[in-house]
Amino acid sequence: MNEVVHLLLRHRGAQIGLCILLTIISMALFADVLAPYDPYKANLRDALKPPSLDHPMGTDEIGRDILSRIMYGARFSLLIAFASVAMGAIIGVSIGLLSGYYGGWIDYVVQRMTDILLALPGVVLALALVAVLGPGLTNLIIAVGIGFIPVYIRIVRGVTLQVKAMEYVTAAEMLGLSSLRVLFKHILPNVFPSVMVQVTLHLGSAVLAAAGLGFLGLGVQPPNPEWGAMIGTGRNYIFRAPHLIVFPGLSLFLVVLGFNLLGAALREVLDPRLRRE
Amino acid sequence: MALVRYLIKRFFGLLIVVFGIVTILFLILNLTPGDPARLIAGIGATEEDVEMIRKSLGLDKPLHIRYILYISGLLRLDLGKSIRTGTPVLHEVLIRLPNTIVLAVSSMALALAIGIPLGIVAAVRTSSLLDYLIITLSIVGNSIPVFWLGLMFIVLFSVKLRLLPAGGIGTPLHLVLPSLTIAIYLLSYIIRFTRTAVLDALRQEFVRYALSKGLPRRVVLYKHVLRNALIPVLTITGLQFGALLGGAPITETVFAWPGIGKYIVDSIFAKDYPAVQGAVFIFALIYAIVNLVTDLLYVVVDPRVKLEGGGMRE
Amino acid sequence: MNSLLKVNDLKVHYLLANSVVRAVDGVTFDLKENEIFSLVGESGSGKSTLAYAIARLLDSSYVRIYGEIIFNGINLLELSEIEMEKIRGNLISMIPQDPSAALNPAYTVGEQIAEVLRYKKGLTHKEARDLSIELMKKVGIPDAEKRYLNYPHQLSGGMNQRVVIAIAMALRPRLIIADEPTSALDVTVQARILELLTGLVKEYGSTMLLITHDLGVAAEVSDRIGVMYAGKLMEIGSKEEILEKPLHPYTQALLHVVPRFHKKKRRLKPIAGMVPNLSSPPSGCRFHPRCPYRSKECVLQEPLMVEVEPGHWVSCNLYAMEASYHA
Repeated sequence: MNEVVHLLLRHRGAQIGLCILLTIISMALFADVLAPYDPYKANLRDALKPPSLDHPMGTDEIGRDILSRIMYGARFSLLIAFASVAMGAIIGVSIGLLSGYYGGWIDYVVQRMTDILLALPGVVLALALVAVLGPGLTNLIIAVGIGFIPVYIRIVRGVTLQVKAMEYVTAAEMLGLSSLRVLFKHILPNVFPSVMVQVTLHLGSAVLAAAGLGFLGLGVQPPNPEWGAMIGTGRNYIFRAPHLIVFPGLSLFLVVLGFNLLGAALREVLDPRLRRE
Repeated sequence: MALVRYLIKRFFGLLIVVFGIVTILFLILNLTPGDPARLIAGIGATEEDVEMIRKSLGLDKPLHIRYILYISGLLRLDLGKSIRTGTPVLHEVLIRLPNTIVLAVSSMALALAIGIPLGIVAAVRTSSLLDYLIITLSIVGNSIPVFWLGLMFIVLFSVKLRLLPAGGIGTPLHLVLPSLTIAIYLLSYIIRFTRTAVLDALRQEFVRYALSKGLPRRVVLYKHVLRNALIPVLTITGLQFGALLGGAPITETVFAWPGIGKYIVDSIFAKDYPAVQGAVFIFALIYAIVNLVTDLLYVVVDPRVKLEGGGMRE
Repeated sequence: MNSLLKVNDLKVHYLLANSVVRAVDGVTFDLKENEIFSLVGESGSGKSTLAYAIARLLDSSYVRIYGEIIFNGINLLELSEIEMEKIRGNLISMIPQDPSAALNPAYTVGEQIAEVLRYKKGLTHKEARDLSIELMKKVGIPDAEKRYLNYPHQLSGGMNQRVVIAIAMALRPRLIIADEPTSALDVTVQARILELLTGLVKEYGSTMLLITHDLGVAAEVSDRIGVMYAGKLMEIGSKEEILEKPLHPYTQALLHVVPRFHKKKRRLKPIAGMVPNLSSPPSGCRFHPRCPYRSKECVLQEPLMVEVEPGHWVSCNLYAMEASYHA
C-alpha cells in the first residue's frame, strides 16, 4: 500500500491530477472565504459583463459574479460525484462478493440483472430515473450512481471466483473460519486495486453525467450554481456573452481531467504489466 | 451447426435482456411516488380532468393488469400513444431513428479514421515523444464535457467564423459540428485501445517469425500485426456505439438534432411518459442488438474463436 | 569443405533494468557447406539466443551483439536492416520452436506460405498459390488444396510443423536454422518430422543448424555436434566423437543421463546442481560448481578451447594442461 502511494506521488500524471483536484477541493471547501461575491446576488446593472478586474470571469445574465458561482458550484459536482460513486461501489462490491462467493441461483439472477442494467446506457437510465423521481440532489445521486453498480459487480465477481478457486481460501474454510470472514480477509484485498482504479475513473464520469443532466435542466436546478446548469442557462446568451459557458466548462474539464489522470496513473501503478522500467 | 446453436443462444440472451429492460422501465415509470395523471393534468385541473386522464392512460387498472397490457401491446409492436401528439410512439421514434443513426455512424467513422492511425503510430513509436503526445491528447479528449465542446464549436464556427450552421438538420454541413464533437470524445477510447492492441500484437511470437521469413518490416506491421490488433478494436467499436447512443440525448439537444435522444429529453419535459418509456425501450433494444452484432462480427473476423465455448465476452 | 557460416567470439548481452545477462558469451564455431550441425544444451544455455542472433532477430532496443557472424563471406552484423531482410528467407530461413504460436492465427496457412513467394520471389497470386500447394504436398500434407485454406488452429501440431518446414524450404535457402523443431510434438510424430526435414535439407543441398536440448535428436540427424553450457561452447566434434569419446565432464554427464537413443525417454535429465544465473555467472569454468572433477584452478581460470584431436575441440582445464603439455 505504501509502495503504491510512493509510486503514485512520483508519477507525473498523478502529480498533475492531484494538484488539480486539491485545488478544486479546497476551492469548494473554502468557497465562503475565497469567493469575492455572493453567488446568488443579482445585480442587473452589471448583467452579462465580460471578464474584467472586478469580475475575473465576468457576470451572468442577471449580473452574478461567475467566479464566485464557480467556486460554490464545485461543491455540487464533487458532492454528487463522491456520493454517487460511493453508492455504486458499495452496493456493487457487496453484490459482486456475495454473487461470486455463493454462486448458484443467486449468482444467476445477479448476472442477468447485471446484463440488463448494462444494456441501458448510463445517461439514459439516469434520465429515465430523474424524469420520474424529480430533480432533487438525492435523486440525482441515485440516478447517476445506479449505472455504476453493474461495473463493480462484474469486477468483484470475477476476482471472487478466481480467489475462491485458490487453495488458501479452501484451506481457510476447512480451518473453520466463517465464510464471511474468509470473504473479507482474502477477497477484498484482491479486488481493492481494480475497484480503486474504477472508482477514480467513475468519479470523472459522475461529474460529467451530473453536469449533463444539469445542462439539460434535469439536474441541480437554478439558481444553484451547478456548472452544468450554468452552461445550460448560459447557452441562451451564446451569441452575446460566450464567457457564460466558457468558464464553467473549463472547470468541468479540469475536474474530470484530474480524476482521469489520477485513474490512469493508479492503473499503471497497480498493474505491474503496465509499469514502465 | 455450432454457429446456429450460438446464434440461438445469443438470441435468447437478448430476449431476456430486453424483457428485463421492459420490466424495469415499466416499474420505474409506474411505481414512482406521485400521480402521473395529476402531473400531466397540471396544477389547475379539476378532479374530473385528472380522472379522465387516468382512465385514458389506463392508470385506473391495478399494476399487474397494466403490466400485462403493456407487454401484450409490445408484442403487437404497440408502444402506446404519445400524450402530446396522440400519434403512436413507435411511429414517432421510427421517423427520428435514421437521424440518430446517421449521426452515430458518421461520428464513429470519423473517430475510427483518425483514432486507429494515431493509435498505431503511438504503439509503433512507443515511449517516444509522439507516443506521449498522443496519449495526452487522448486523456484530454476524454475529459472534455461533450455538450460543452459542442457549444464551444458553435461559438467558434457558427458565431465567430460563420462557417457552419449551429444546429438543426438538412444539409451535410449540418452534420459537421455534431459529428466532430462526438468523434473527439470517441477518439480518446479508440486511440488508447488501438495502441494497447497493437502493442499486444507486436509482442506475439508470430511477429518475429514473420520477420524471419524475410518479409519487409512494413508488411509485417500492416499485415500481420494489424489484422490481429484490429480484432479487439472492433469489439470496442461495437461497445462504443452503445456509449454513443447513451450520449445522444445530450448531444442531440446541443445541436437541435431531431433524433431519438432529443425526443426523450423533450418528452421528459412534456411529461409524456409513454413516449419516454417507448423511446428508451427502443434505445435499449438497439444497444442490445449492436452488442450482439459486434459479437457476431467478432466470430467472423477472428478465426480462432470457437463457438462451442458459448460465452464470447469476458 | 568450405565454411558457410563462421561465428567468431560471439557475445549476446541482454540489457535489463539493473543487470546484464550474458546469454551468449564468446562462442566460436563454423558450419561446413551441406552439413547438419546440432547445438545441444539445457534450456537457458543460450542456444536459442544464438540462433536468433544469427538471423538478427533479437530486439535491438535491449540486446547488444558483439563479435562476428560471417555468412558466405559477409559479416551479418555489419549489414543494414534492409540488407538483412533480403538475406532472411532467401538465404537463411528459420524453423520455429512452436509453430502454433509462430504462425499468424488470423491468416490461412496457405497464405502464410504464399506470401513468402510473392514478396520474396515476385510471383503472382496464382503462381504463389500453385507453388505453395506443391510445397505442401512435398512436406507431406494430405489434401493440400483443402488445407491451403485452413487456419493454423484447425491443423494439428504436426501439420503446422510441416507448414513451417514448407515455408522454410520455399526459397531453397542455403542455411536453415531449426530451433527445437520437434519439441512441441509427441514422440511418434517427432521422428517422422525429423526424417522429413533432414531429407529435404540433403535434397536441396542446404546446411542446417539444429538447436535442441535433446541429445537423442542430435545423435539421429547430425554430422557434427556442439555442446553449449551457460552461454559458452564446451565441446565440438563429429557426432561419433561426441557420442563415443566425450571429453568434457558436462558432455559425459549428459550422456550418462541419456541411457540409450531411439528410446521413448530422450530428454536430458537434470544434472546435479543448477544452471547458473547468467547475469552473474560462476568464476573460472562455468561448469565448475557442478563438475565432479573440479580443481582449484577451475574456480580461478577460465579454460581455453583446445583441439585435442583434429576437429574435436573442448574447453576444459583437464585437457588444456594436456594440450600445453603436448606442445
